[in-house]
Amino acid sequence: MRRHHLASAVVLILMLGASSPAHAAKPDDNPATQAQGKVIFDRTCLWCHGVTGTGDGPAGRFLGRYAAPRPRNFTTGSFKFRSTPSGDLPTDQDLFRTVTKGIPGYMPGFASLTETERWQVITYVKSFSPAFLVETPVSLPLTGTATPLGPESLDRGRALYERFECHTCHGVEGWGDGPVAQAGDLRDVSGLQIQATDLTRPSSFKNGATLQDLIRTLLTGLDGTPMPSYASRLTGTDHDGWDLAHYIRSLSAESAP
Amino acid sequence: MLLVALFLALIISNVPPALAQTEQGVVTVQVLYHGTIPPPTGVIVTRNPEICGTQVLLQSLTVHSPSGGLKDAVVTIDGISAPETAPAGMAPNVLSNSRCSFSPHVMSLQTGSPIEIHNQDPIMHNTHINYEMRTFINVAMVVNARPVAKTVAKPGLYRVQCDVHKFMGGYVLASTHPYFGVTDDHGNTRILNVPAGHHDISVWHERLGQLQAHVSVPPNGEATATFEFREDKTGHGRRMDR
Ligand code: HEC
Ligand code: HEC
Ligand SMILES: [Cu+2]
Repeated sequence: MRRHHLASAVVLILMLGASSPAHAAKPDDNPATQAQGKVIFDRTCLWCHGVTGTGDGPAGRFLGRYAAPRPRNFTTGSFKFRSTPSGDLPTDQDLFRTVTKGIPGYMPGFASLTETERWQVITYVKSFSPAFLVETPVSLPLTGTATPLGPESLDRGRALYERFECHTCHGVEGWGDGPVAQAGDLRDVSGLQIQATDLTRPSSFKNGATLQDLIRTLLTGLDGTPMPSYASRLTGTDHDGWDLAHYIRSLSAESAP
Repeated sequence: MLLVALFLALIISNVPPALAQTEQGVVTVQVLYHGTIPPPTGVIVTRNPEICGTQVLLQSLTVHSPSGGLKDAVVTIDGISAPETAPAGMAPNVLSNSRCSFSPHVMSLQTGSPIEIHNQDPIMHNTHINYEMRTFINVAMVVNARPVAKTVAKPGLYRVQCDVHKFMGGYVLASTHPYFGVTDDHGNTRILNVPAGHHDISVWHERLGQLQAHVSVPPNGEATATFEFREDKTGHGRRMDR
């Protein structure tokens, strides 16, 4: 019994979403907060995401016209960077992380806004999709225990990369040139052609490149894109996720972030 | 505790059936297609031809000869709510990746029941289901993966794809009640335990679209509905009461 409690406490601490706790400045989700968020949105985000949040702002129109990604359409309720199961909404912490760090290559980070302002604008962003009123997103637990980086872990990671057929899309060397990617068959949810990420360039990863970030990406998948969730295969394993994450980082010539 | 539960269960199951439910009947449906059948589209397989075959022939119209019965059409009673007694159809609905296609190609289910994804092939598929512009689920089904289940909450049309094999496709139609059926090789389906009375009934086919009709379901009897799709898409439904 005691052990059980201990175990669930550890799981709680390891919840994927809990990595950057920023609760202190979080205002209540109410109409006043939304109104304050709207002011910030109109000044800061509207340019790309558009007045109605559909991703068709004055600049958004030109972003991703012929190839993915377009600025997110917030009305669909589909989000890429989550700690939650495939198909679920992101948690508030997930949105906070995205808005704070930005999306390399596509969206600036907004650490320049105060934490309170970031929470306000997130409240407003959520108001574009009614799904946030009825669904309660819950982070997946991070799986297993961290394995030390070393030849054994990398060997296991390489074997998993092969067994999980990551190379189909990302290529054997991780250059984003797998056969399906090369055939031009990969599309995002709006039908736009999308690249499989070049895994040798972690500084360009949209969802982060730390071990925890990579495991999160593998567990959740990136909704609206072909990148699938491997949660059913990784959950309950002790070190598969960590080995795979080590291996992805070893593909890079860049120095680890 | 267990004893109490058992006792309660006994009492509940002792309620005479006639009290517990309204009168019901069966709806027998045939869906027909009249017209030429376009030749299948050939797709060259670039990924896993050893399992999927070197070429896949896509045919979105499967018509029985000579009856003209149309396979994989979903027939649904409209404007009806789920029965109050425990729904019978909450068993998992299995969607298999099998020889590089989704089996069944078209599935119908009741909201609140899970969809269970399997992979029987010795290669990876990703089963990627979208509802409108939102991902319902996108899971990698690696070799020997255990099944993945997810409950369907919202009624409507779900599209199924595999991003690795772009020729793989399927549909899931979710309704809020258990009164639906998917037509078999002969274009037939039967909808059981339908409350007696007048109902609207409709059929949906991925390529031919939708048709509507009416049925009068007699208590403890059977109603028949026939839908006819035509090549020029001017099909109609008609009813025959028995
Ligand atoms: C320069 C254009 C630009 C600006 C300005 C911008 N965004 Fe974005 N945003 C994007 C693009 C492009 C994407 C989609 C990236 C992708 O799909 O890979 C995106 C995606 C998002 C997402 C979705 C993340 C996910 O998990 O799917 C959120 C949330 C978001 N932006 C919030 C904001 C907020 C809040 C602001 C203002 C504070 C803002 N954005 C300003 C371009 C922009
Ligand atoms: C069906 C094709 C497909 C498969 C299989 C696949 N991926 Fe991906 N992956 C993608 C696509 C496409 C993206 C880019 C999504 C985007 O840019 O929005 C992506 C993104 C990623 C990212 C995120 C990069 C970022 O920007 O944060 C990582 C990491 C990744 N994949 C690793 C893997 C690994 C490891 C595997 C195998 C376990 C795998 N992928 C399997 C298609 C695939
Ligand atoms: Cu497939």
